Amino acid sequence: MRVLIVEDESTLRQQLATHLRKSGYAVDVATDGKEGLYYGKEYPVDIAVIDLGLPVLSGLELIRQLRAAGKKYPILILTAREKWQDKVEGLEAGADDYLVKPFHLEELMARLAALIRRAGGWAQALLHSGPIVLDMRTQLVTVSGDAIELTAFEYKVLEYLMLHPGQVVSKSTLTEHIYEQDFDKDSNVIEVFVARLRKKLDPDNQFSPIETLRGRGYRFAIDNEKSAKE
Amino acid sequence: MVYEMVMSSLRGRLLISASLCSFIFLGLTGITLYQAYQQTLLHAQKAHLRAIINDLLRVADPQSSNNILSFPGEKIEHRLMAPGSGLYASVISEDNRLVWQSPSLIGQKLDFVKTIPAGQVEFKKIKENGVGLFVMRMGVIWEDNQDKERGYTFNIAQSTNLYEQQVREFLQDLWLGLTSMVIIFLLLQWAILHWGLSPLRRVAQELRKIESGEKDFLEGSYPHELAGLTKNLNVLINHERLRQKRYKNAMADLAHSFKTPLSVLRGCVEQQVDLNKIPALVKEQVDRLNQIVSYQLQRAATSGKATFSKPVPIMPMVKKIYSALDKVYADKRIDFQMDVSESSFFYGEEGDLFELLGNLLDNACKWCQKTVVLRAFMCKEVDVAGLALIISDDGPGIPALEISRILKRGERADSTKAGHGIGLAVVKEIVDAYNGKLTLGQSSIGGAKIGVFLQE
Repeated sequence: MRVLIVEDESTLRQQLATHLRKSGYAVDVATDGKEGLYYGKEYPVDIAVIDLGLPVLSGLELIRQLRAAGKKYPILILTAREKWQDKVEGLEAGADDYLVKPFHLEELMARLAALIRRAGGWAQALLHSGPIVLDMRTQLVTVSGDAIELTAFEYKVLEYLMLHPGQVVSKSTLTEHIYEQDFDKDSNVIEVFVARLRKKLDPDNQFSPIETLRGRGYRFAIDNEKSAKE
Repeated sequence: MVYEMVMSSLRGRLLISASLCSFIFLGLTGITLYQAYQQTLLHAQKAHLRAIINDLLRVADPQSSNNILSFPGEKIEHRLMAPGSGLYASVISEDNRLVWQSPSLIGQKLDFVKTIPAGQVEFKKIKENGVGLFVMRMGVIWEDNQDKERGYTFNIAQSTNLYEQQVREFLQDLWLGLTSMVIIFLLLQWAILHWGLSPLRRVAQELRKIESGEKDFLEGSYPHELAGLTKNLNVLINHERLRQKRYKNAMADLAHSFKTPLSVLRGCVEQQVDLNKIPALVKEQVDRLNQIVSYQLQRAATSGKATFSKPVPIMPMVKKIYSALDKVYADKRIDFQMDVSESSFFYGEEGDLFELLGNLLDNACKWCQKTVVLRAFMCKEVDVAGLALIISDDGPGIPALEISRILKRGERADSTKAGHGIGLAVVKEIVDAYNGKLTLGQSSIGGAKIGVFLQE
């Protein structure tokens, strides 16, 4: 998943970026509201973390403009102001959650994960379809109860596909949302990941969790019986 | 610039308007008097000239021997006999022939003579040859000694000199009289205003003393129109004082509460505590410091009961907070129930209500399983009218120990206990600032029930 951080305070910004990358996110950073608006509009962002007190363009105004530009991805506000009036104002402007500074990084991660899966239509932290269960909190994948070993990128591909269940996801989209810089990645890498995933998830070719649609992309099939999607 | 200066002073305004009024009023009076006097004088002139004519008419003998009117000298008004006396008479026949002329006309070149029909009388003021004259003319018909009817016009003229002098003198007296009246009037005005506006001066003086710290409140007794103003000023001053005191107290408490966590942290460094324990310890103290800061700042910023607060409607704010909480707790899919009467208002600062409702509802959402109920209505408690808010949830409820701790007066919320702790402490602060009541208990749906009563 691709996360945009808009924070003018450099120490906090770097801390956040490092931690998020370590947790498997592709991270873009902006240091002021105007830069944030550019990245927010032009880049394939999955979720944004925006500080309210920004130079050039205020956080609130940035959120309003992103929403006005049709960007629907979840936005989490970071703010030092804990007055209810400010919280409500931020949420009314278009944000989906807020976190008051100083905060625990774990709390931030949990909230981001919650927002992402909510955006994907999942009400709980566990994404499942058929025998496959993916836990976003622990980043563990099990098939019929047995844990599966996935590399970081295999996990990212699976997670992205499961967060867009039933949707066709092109190879280039996957590349954009998984890598920070995609200029030297060719789509064959994705093909390799998907192939490996299939092997690990469904070695006996029983239920084909990932569909290939020639020339269009991949689709993670939803199992209507056991899906937890609401 | 002078205009602005004058208009900006109450006294200036009043003086200017009173002066204008008095000028206009006295001016009109003067004009009336002047005209009345003129009329009187003119009437007198007319009467006088009438008398002269009557005299002449009596003296005239139309039946004298040569059929010409004659005027025996000794019986005529003596001024008509003296040349240049100012009183002149001339009688002419109907065919404009001069019949008789008073001796006063000798050497005078004055033409005021005209014929007018018999029976008519004319009175005019004319200017002839640079000389002002009052002229009276009368037409008569007499029979001569041959019983023939003859018409004559009697023309009398009187110089206007005396008249004009009298008018001049009158005007002078009038001016003098009116001017002194105006001056006296203005002086009186000024004195009245000075006395009348003195309470305002007193207020200004007292305010200056309050500003400089000599006095605490407005203490004088003021006329009934100012009483409302001074009373409200005192309430405002008091409110500001309390607010400042609250800030000072919060800062002092803040400084005080910081000491313990800071000394623990310092201890970590100085006393070579087990390295493994340090991260947890630091985290704990940092959390504590953070809580203290939030709580004390919140406390300091609470505005509290103000005199001039606009009533804040509850419903729109509840809706805003609900939609915000709905986003934040979207996973829980909370069932928000509200029963807010249309007439519920909060008499205080909007910000305080926001914090109050925000914290109460956030707590309820955090702890509930699925349901949060808010009731708001106006009611009477003993005989004080006010706003009642009741928030219930279906969560685990508040343990009795917590209840008594939170409600205890003067309790410092610097414990690191999460949960209802900070939120309710803030609520209590706000309720206290408005001299309200806070009750904690158990709700019928299983969880906590928090009641707040705030008077109008």
